[in-house]
Amino acid sequence: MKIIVKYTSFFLIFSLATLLFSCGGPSRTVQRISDSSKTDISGRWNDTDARIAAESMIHDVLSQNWLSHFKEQEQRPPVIMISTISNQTSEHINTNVISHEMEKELLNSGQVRFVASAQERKEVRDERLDQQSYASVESAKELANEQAADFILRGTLTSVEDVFDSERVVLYKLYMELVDVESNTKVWINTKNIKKYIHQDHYRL
Amino acid sequence: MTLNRIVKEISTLSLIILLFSCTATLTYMAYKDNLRSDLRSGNYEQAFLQLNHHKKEIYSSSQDRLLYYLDRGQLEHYRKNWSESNRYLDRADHVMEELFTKSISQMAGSYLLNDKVMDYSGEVYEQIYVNVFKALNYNAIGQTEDALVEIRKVNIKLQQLEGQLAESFKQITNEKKIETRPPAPFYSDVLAHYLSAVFYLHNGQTDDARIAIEKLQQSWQTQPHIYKQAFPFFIDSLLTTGIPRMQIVCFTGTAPAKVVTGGMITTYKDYIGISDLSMPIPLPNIPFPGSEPGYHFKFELPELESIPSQIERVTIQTDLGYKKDLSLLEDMGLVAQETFKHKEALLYIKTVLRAVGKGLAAAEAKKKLKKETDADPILGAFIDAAIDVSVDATEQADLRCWDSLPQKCFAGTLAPIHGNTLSVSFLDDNGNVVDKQSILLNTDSKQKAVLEFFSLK
Repeated sequence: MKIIVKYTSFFLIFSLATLLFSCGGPSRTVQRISDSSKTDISGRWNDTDARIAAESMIHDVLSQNWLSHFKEQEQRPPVIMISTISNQTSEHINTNVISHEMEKELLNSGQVRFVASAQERKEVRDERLDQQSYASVESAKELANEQAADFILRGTLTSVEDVFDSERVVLYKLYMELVDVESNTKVWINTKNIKKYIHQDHYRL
Repeated sequence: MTLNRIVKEISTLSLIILLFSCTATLTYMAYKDNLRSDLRSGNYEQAFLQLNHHKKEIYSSSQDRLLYYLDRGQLEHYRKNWSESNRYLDRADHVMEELFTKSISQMAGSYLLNDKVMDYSGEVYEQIYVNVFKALNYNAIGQTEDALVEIRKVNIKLQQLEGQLAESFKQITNEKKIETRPPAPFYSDVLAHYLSAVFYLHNGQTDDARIAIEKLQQSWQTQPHIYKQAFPFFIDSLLTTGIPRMQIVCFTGTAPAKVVTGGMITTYKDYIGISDLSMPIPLPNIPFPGSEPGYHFKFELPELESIPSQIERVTIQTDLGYKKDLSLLEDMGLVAQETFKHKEALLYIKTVLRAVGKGLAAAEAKKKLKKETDADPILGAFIDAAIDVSVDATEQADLRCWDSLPQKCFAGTLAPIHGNTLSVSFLDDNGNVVDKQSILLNTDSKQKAVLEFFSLK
C-alpha cells in the first residue's frame, strides 16, 4: 500500500512541476536568415531540397554532349520548353519551384534559350490576338511568328517512404529528361536522389 | 474547528469536481447529439452554425483542437466548400502528426485523472479518413495529382500506426509483466485503394491503377470480418478498356459514437480481478504488488457504438432509363470499430491500473483522515462518501471522437453515354426513398475522377 501512495505522490509532484514549467505560455521569435541556408523543420520536402535538386540538374544538363552537338550542327543555342514536373510523392510539393529555378539558371548561363510553356503560351497568344484589334498597326506583334522549341525538358518527382513507429526514411528521386521535339529522341537524362532520415520523439514535457 | 474545516473542504471540493465534470460531460454529449441530428436531417448549415456557436464551449481547450479541425473540415465538405474543407482537414492532419509526440505531463495527468487531460490525437480510422476526405476535396476541384498525394499518405500512415501500436503494447505489457494477446494484424483500407485506382486511371497511369486494384482485392480477401458483403463486380471492370466510365461514391449515415462502458475491480492479495465488464475483452488477472484484498472500484472506458442509419440501399438512375444499385464498398463504422479494437486492450489495462491506483490511494486517505479526525461512524461514512465522489468524478471515459464522419460508402460506375442527368436515390430496407439527389451530367462533372454524393440520414 505504501508503494502505491509513494507512486501517486511522485506522479502528483511530477505533474505539478511540469505544469509550472509550461506556464510561461507560447512565445514566437522571428529572424531573417539567408535564403541559401539549409533548414529542416518537419522533415518534409522544402526549399533546400528543391535548390539541391535543381542545382544538380543544371550542372549536369550544361556539361553533357547534347549541347555541343546541337551548337555544332545548328550554329545557334538550342531552344527549350519546360514542361511539367509531375509530383508522384506523398507530399504536396510545388514542383514549379524546381522548374523555375532551372529555367532561371539555364537562361542566365547564356547557352540555351527558352520559350514559354504550354500554359504560359495561351496567355501570350490571347494577348497577341487582342493586339490585332486594339494595338496600332506598327506596334502590334505578328501572328504565326513564334519560335518553336527544339527540346522539351520534363520530369517526375517520386518518393519511397519507409516508416516504423517513430522512425521514417524518405528517398526523393527527381528524374528529368530532355526530349528532341522533332525526333522524339531523349538526348539527356539525369536523376537526383535525396535521402532523409527523420526521427520524431515519443515524448515531450 | 479543524475537523469541521477538513470535512467542509472535502465536501466542497467533491461537489465542485462532481458538478464541473458532470456539467462539462452533459454539455458535450448534448452538443454531439444535436450535431448528429442536424447531419442526419441534412441540415448542414444548422450543424455549421452549431459548431460555431459552441466553439468556445466545446472546443476551447487546446486538447480538443483536433476535434474542431476535423468537424469544421467535414462540415465544410458537406457544404461543398472544398478548399475551405481542405484548409481545416490539413490542420487536423498536421495536429495528428505533431501529437505523435506525447506530452509527459499530460500522460502523468492521464494516469492520475483520466484520458481527457491528454491532447486528442485521433483514432486510427480518423487518421485514415482525414486523408480520404482531403483526396475527395482535391478531386472536387479537379486536382487529381494532389488527391493521389493524400491517398499515398493513408498507406504510409497505416504502416506507421501499426509500428506505433506494436511498440506501445510491448512497452506497457513488459513494464507491468502482463500476459495478454498481442494486437491482431493491422488494417488495410479498401476505400483508399479504390480511390487510388480511380485517380491513377484518371491520370492515365494504368499500371499503378492495376496495382491499387490488386491491393484492394487483397485487402478484401484478408479482412472478411470487415468486408462481409459480396465483392463489388464493377471493381473488376475498372481496368477494361473501351467505354470511359464515371465513378460514383455515396456516403450515408453517421459514424459510430463513443459511449461509456465499464466494470468493477476487486482487489486480492497482490493481484486484481475484473467483473461486470460490458464488453468482451480477454480478462487476465492482473498482478498488482502491494494490493490488499477486499476493495471494489468502478472504472469507465469508451466503447464505439454504431448509430443505425435509415439508408440501406443506394440506386442511380439516368434520364435515358439506365438504373443500377450501387455496391457497399466500405462500412466505415465497422472499420472504426475494428480498428478501435486494436487499442482497446491497451486502453483497458491503463484504465484498470489507474482506477486501482486511485482507489487504493483513496482507501488509504480515508483511513488516515478518519484516524486524524477521530471521526464517529456518521462522520466516517460522510468522509467515505465525499472521497468516493471525488475519485469517481475524476474517473471518466474519454468520449471524444470525430462525430461528423459518415458511416457507409457505396460505389459504382456509369458510362457518360447512359444519360444527361443522374439521380441518386437513398432507400430504406423496405425500398422507400428517404432522400433523392439529381445532377446534370455536364462536361465539368464528366471530367471529374469521382462524383460524390452524401445523405447522412
